Amino acid sequence: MSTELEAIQPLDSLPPYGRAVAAPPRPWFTRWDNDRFSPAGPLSVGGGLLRAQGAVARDLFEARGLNTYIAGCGLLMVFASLLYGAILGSVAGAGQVVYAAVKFPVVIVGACAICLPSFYVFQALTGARLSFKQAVAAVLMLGAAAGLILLGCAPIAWFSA
Amino acid sequence: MAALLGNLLHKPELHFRLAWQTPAVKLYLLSAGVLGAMAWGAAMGSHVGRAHLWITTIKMPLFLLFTLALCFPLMHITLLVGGVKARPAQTLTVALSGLCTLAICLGACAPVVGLFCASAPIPSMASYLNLYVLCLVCGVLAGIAGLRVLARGMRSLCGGPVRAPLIAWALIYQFTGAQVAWVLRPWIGSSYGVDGYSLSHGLSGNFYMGVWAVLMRWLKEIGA
Repeated sequence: MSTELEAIQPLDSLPPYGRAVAAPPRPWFTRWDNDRFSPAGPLSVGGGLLRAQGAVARDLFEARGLNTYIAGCGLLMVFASLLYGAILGSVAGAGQVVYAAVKFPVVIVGACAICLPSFYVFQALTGARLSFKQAVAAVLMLGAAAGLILLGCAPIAWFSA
Repeated sequence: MAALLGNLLHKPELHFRLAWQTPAVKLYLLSAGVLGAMAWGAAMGSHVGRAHLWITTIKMPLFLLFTLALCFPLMHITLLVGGVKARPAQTLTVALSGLCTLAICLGACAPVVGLFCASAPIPSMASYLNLYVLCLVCGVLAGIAGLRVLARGMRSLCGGPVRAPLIAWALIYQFTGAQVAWVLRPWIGSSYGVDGYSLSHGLSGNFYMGVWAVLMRWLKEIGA
């Protein structure tokens, strides 16, 4: 039997009596905290959405560079969904390429436009406190992310069709 | 008006502090509420379309305001009995703020509901029931948001607990509102294309007897 005593933790490193020990931050939160990104222009917004979501979210909440984000996400949303539609439409012939390329941006932009009023009102009521411009940027970010993911799936969808 | 609505949604405490000093706030609340309710009415009316669209657009704000007019004396008395010392003008401001929040929430849901209403097939009992549930969910969400604003308004008047008058207000408004909505029906329009509004149709029976009849029919169907 060992007679060696365990090392005692110094008192100042312990939380005060009766207080809960703070949980360590989750890995995703740490990653988002460490994200760094500043958009050089509307066309660079896609990189931020894919690689540095934490930095993009911070910019959104602090209303930094909103015009750049709105323009970038809007363009990205339209062009990514247009390309996806064209690729998907190419399976059914040349006429369908144009038709689907027009339809997909209409679907994504339309969905964002329809949901924007309820998103703005309910986020305000639940305490998120975003301005209308920030809400527009948030909804466009959603559309842009959806467009990018669709574009990423396009080759698989084309191959499967 | 945009600033007032921003305060109402983002900072209700500030909204009520300003409202006690500016009586004109009531007018803005009224206009915003009417616009929100009209948008919601148009969305519901778009299922049947044609004349039903504009009839429902007009009926919706009338429904909310008429219910408020019927309930207001009892609501004010409840507030006083509940220990909130308010003048009638203050009660009206609190009630209009809650109602305006409800109408704005409904108006914000209008594009979504309008899309479903306009694209649902007619006649189809299934799509009618789906729309009914969708409108009910939106109504419940908007009602909760309205109640939260009402609670803030009452608290800014008395500073103490306001649970009892708040529950009383919700019950009074719901009880009366259900009957007013019954009289002013149809809202979505039946799946068989009821076009327009007829007072004789609305005045037959009442909401609670209607619910009772549906319940009995349902129990008979399942053989209970």
